[in-house]
Amino acid sequence: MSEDRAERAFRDALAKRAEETTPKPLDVPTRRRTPRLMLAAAAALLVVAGGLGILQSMRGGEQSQVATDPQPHETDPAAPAAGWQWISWRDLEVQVPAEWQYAFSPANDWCVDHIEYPDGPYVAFPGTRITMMIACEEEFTHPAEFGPAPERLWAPHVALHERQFDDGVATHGDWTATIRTFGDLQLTVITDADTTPLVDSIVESARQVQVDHAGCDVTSPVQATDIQRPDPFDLATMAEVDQAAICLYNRIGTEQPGLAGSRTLGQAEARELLAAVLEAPVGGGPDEPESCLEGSYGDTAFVVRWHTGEGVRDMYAYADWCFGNGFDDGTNLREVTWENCRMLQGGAVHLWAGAGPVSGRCLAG
Amino acid sequence: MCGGLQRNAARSRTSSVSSVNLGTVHPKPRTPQVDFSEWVAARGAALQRFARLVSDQEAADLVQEALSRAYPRWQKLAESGSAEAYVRRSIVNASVSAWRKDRRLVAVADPSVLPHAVQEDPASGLGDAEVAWRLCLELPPQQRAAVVLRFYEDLSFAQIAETLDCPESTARSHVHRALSTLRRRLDAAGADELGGSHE
Repeated sequence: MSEDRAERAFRDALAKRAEETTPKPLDVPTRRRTPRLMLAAAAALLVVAGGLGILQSMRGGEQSQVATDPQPHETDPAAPAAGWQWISWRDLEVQVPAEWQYAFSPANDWCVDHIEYPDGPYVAFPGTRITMMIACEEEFTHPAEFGPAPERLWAPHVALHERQFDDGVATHGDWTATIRTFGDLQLTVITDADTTPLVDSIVESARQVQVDHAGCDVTSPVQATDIQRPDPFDLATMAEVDQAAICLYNRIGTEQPGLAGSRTLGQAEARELLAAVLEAPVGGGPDEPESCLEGSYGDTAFVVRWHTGEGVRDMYAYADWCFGNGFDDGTNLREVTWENCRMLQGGAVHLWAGAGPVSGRCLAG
Repeated sequence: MCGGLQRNAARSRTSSVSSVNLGTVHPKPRTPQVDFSEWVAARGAALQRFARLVSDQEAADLVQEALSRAYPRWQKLAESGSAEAYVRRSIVNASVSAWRKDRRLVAVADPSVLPHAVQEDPASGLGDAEVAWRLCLELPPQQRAAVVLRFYEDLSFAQIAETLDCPESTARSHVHRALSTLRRRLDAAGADELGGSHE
């Protein structure tokens, strides 16, 4: 078999399929969408910030990876209103009541007995957990905006997700689904009679940002498919830590926001995490490269943004695949342990899938 | 919420952008948007062919999404001459994202009750080009894109690496592994033809 034959086969195959493709007319984007809605959101946020007179200070603005691109909003790190919290996904963030905690919404496998779903208001984890390929058959009359599960499994919640529906309001009995689009993403608010009065406050607080409420850039170099290293510093000699932001990213390339979840650690928690990382052996891992699937790589990467008296330092961490795992300060790569990986996770930040021995130390649930 | 509810996605995407009315664009001074429109008109068809080759998703949707991402950055992309690479990379990344979502599905049905798939010789009775295309369909998206960029777009390995945002060695590895696999299959097909039918 000559190389020419294989190359020619590829060329012939690709040319044939390309010729069979009938191009369709393309629309030319003219601007970011929903400008009026965004102006309304900005106005609402000014009211919130002015009323509270509080501005957070934990932004690493000079390290933003998207600062040169036009964005709908400059970041206004306003604190949430009293009794509310910010949640974010990619470049969209919104305020919800502080008592609403993260949980998974029922998915297509909602009929599986052992899966428990929230019975009170919650924030939906973006995306879906790993789902089972089973057919849960039941006749429904509710609008698709309410999801695949029957009404008996519904609970009020907020979800940030990619565009799936047209903007608007759908109802089913006492339930309301409110859909709003912001850039490439959508906000869905599912409410019952008790929680429907909150819809306006939630929707009007939504905004697109370059740096989210926790101080995480919505786009990071760690979204690249190759392993990235941060600007070097030495974790062992870093100045005293005041707080830290944990930023979890999907490795979907760096052309679009990939922030999958974020959370803030206060001084005590941040110092515990720092100690747990420093206690781990230098050398990285645990890796098992012989088990790697050819052409595949991990789904997620962390940036730990340390806030110190001498400024902000970014540490990268990989902890979901068969190679490249470790906490990296650009000088040393330290091993992922059960302790330090658990301290990374909480709130919106969780690892739900992975491969290799690191999964046993890191996977949530 | 919303897991698996994607049937309105294409409609939403399509309705998210509006067409340019060229009659309202003043010829001077030239704006990035005019240049972008011209570029889309010139390259749109080729980009859809590329999208068709690297992904099983709807090519026009992939290109439309990539254009939406390119537009806010257009001035820089045009000035740096990297627009084509950027849009191609966006198309490949969208393909990768879709593939990664799909592979997360975990089958739990009892496999013993499923009809057994017939393992056919992938090259049996097919022409070389058809064997090659079937192999393309099996490749992970980034490797498939590397093959398309090499053998359809005739790019160098350095250009492929730039487009895919990977080291040149990775681009070479993608292409050479695909070629090796195809050679084996074509060799096997040739041996089958010489040796007669399996039956």
